[in-house]
Amino acid sequence: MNDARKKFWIALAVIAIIWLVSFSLSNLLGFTETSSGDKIVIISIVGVLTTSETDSTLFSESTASSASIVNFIEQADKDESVKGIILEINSPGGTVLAGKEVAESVKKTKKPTVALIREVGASGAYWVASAADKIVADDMSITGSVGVTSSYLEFSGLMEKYGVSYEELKAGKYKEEGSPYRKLSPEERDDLQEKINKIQTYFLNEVKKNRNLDDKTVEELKDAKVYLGIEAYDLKLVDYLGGKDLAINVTKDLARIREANVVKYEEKKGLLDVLGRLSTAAFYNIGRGIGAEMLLTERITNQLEIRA
Amino acid sequence: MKLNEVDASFWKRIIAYLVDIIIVDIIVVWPFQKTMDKFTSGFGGNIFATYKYVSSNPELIRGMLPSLALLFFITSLLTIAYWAVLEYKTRQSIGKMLMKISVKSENKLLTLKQCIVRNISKISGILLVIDCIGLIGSPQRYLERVSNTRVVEKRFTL
Repeated sequence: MNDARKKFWIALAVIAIIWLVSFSLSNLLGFTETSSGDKIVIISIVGVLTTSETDSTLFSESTASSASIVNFIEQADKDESVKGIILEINSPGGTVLAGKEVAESVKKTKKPTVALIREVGASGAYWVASAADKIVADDMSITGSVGVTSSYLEFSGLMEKYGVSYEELKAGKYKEEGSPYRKLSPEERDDLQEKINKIQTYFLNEVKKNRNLDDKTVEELKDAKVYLGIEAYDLKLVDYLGGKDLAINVTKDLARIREANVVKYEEKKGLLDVLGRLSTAAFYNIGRGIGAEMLLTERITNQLEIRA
Repeated sequence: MKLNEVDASFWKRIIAYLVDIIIVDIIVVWPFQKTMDKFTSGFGGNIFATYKYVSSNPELIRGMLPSLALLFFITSLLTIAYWAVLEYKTRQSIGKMLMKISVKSENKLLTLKQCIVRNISKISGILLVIDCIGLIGSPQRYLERVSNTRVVEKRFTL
């Protein structure tokens, strides 16, 4: 055998051996990874649920963007090593659409989902929780409130006191419905009430479907009462009473795994983000008047807001 | 004119290295790709997305550190083995064969130890760049000087 041919066979043998070793070891590692590399993801839902991407300002309520939450749920769904998702909820609810978007995303995911209600998981936040496979809440958590509210400040009395009159030019009977500068007409009130009732019916039906509730419980929920965790457990609004450890164990059971790394998905905020948001908030509040912002927060936007 | 062994040209060495690194990628990195994906959470080659994901989830890395270290250790070992074994057995890696350059010991015989030492820096791009600084004003990398080896080619000289 000449030298070149000998070298060729040696090179081929070395490559084959290295490839075989790599392949065998990667399979071996891959096998061990399935028992130790499995993940349970925690996604936080803290603050008022909103569809907007903007973060809370210095003086306003903290908010949870439905877009970010949905994004995290989709990310976890795509990740093969994620075996279960825990939604850590501490929210009084929020806008109807935000609640609906997150709840639909939770239902769509193929991974087992567990909602962990911390201090509050009411209204729209309960809607989200009800979409999960199981709900864990503390004895003293506040939940329920399966209702819809719409409110705004009405200034007509104040304006009258200061001799300010409001002229309204409109085309369309209901165009200025919900204007804060005059009282609602009976027709407008009925119209708005009808919409709110429709939203509540939709909301109740979703919760009923998600939780497989009987008509009697649904009838009770119609009052939109808030319930403590222990009361909610009796009404079958939650499945387990406990905290984070229990939620992790329930998720493991649903995913049929014994071990998992628990990781938290959260938006990373760099120094520039924080400074940017602070300066945006500062300029915004200077413009609007800090006093008004502190006293009235965002409710004074003259917009009729419907929240679940 | 005589056929002599002289120090190999820098460009031939670069091309040989590029060929070898492609082979190492195929035989060492590819088989581990699926395991690596678990660490990068399916972001594949998108280093920015991976960085964002990993830096947002420090707990993830902490939990996987032992596996990550083991993965690095195994791939490093196999990478060194590719060059060291081939150079020890044939004085050439595949890239060197194609470029007709070879490794020569400054002592009598080329030993496996010499081959291992001269290739240690190939486990990491940064280490290799530092090692290659030795090529400025010299035909040998730092580790080639340590291991008493050099890369040569046959050239006709007067």
